[in-house]
Amino acid sequence: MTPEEFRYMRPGNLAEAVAALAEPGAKLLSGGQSLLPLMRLRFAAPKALVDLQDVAELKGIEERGSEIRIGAFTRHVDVAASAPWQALREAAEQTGDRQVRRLGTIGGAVSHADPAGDLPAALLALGARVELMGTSGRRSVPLDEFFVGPLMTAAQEDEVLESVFVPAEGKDSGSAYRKLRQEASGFALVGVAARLQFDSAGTCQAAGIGVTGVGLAPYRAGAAEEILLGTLVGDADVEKALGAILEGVDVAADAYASAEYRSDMCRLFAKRAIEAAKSQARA
Amino acid sequence: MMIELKVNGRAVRRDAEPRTLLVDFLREDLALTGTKIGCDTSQCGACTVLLDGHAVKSCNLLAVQAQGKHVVTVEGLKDLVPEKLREEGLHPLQAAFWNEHALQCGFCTPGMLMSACDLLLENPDPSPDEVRHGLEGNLCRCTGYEPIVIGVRRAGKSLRDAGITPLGTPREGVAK
Repeated sequence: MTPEEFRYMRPGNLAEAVAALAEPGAKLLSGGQSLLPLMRLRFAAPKALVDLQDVAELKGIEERGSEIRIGAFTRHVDVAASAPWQALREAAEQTGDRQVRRLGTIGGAVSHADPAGDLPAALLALGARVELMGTSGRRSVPLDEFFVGPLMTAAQEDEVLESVFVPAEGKDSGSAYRKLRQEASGFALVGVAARLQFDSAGTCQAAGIGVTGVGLAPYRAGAAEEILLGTLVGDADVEKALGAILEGVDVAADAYASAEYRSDMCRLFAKRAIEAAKSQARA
Repeated sequence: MMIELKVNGRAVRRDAEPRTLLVDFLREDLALTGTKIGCDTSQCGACTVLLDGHAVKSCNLLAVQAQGKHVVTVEGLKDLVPEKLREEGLHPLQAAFWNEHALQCGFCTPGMLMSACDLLLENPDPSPDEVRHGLEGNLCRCTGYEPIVIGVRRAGKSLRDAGITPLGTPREGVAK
């Protein structure tokens, strides 16, 4: 179906993009791989679309001090090929299909905040933050405060998601993303990303676990992370952490998976992600 | 608004509403009906075309987003390769699909060909599993996937032997 009518705007830089959002009912168009299907089904009918493809400030991957900045308009194919952290590359590689990855962007995926999105899980595990540019300037938001519900984020109506920041990869660190696909759609029934960093004695110095497909929004499993910190991440430590991974989460049940099955799979795929991250860090 | 782009090597200039999907622009405005519409949910891949050399779903892209870019549809596929490398006038991918019976009803075929083009550009010699993964965005409701996998690999060999990518550009050092 054809989307409802809208006014089309194509700003040439970030300031113009922010200004364009002043148009009533305006929405940002990045890769369009989530937004256009919604518009075609008329679940979404923005009055104006602000196409970001010419905004150079939103593109590219570069080092910024102790962080790596990924421009919001960086396509999934480019994240899969050149982003830091294995978990992030694996999540990008498993997002959508070939055609979707050619157009879809990391900023679009984060802003869409799909409860089963792959990239959010990886970014949460990495302790990512986002920078938003609005009429009153730029602000930084930790990603775990950015997702507020299904398809809902902390972005204000006048803000453009400009960049995603992840920490630079340290020595003795590793990360992985493991996903159980819903076979027909390819969406995550469950997806878990893990990031681990060890000191020279093999003690876990930093741990991040991001979960998708399980709750109302992708989340960071803080209680499970706490359990791994300061341990050698041995089998018993991992088992204990897995016991805490669903703490405080209302596990979703639908036609594809009961809450019980989803919970079991969450623990299983979390285990695989943690083990893969650990062996990578130790390699 | 005025939409200007290149389609199958030719400059095109047409007035269209911003909400016009690229697939409708191709089929309705340009009468290029080789590109198919197989679903309404962006899942089937029948509408796949090349946008600046890479496979995208033309149902999931506004025509205006392709402003200034080069779109190649199945009608323009054979023209990507030099005439002497065509088989009965067909692109090596089309010839391989023909020879391996990689189509039944044929509705998914244009999309399969364009996705396979992108796959072979990235990976000139994919394994059967790599072809399956590489074509995950294209559905065949006849379920005739096996000959498609064989056809794509056969085309890969033809292109390697010819020393070119599916886009007709030279490729060196890929022969196995």
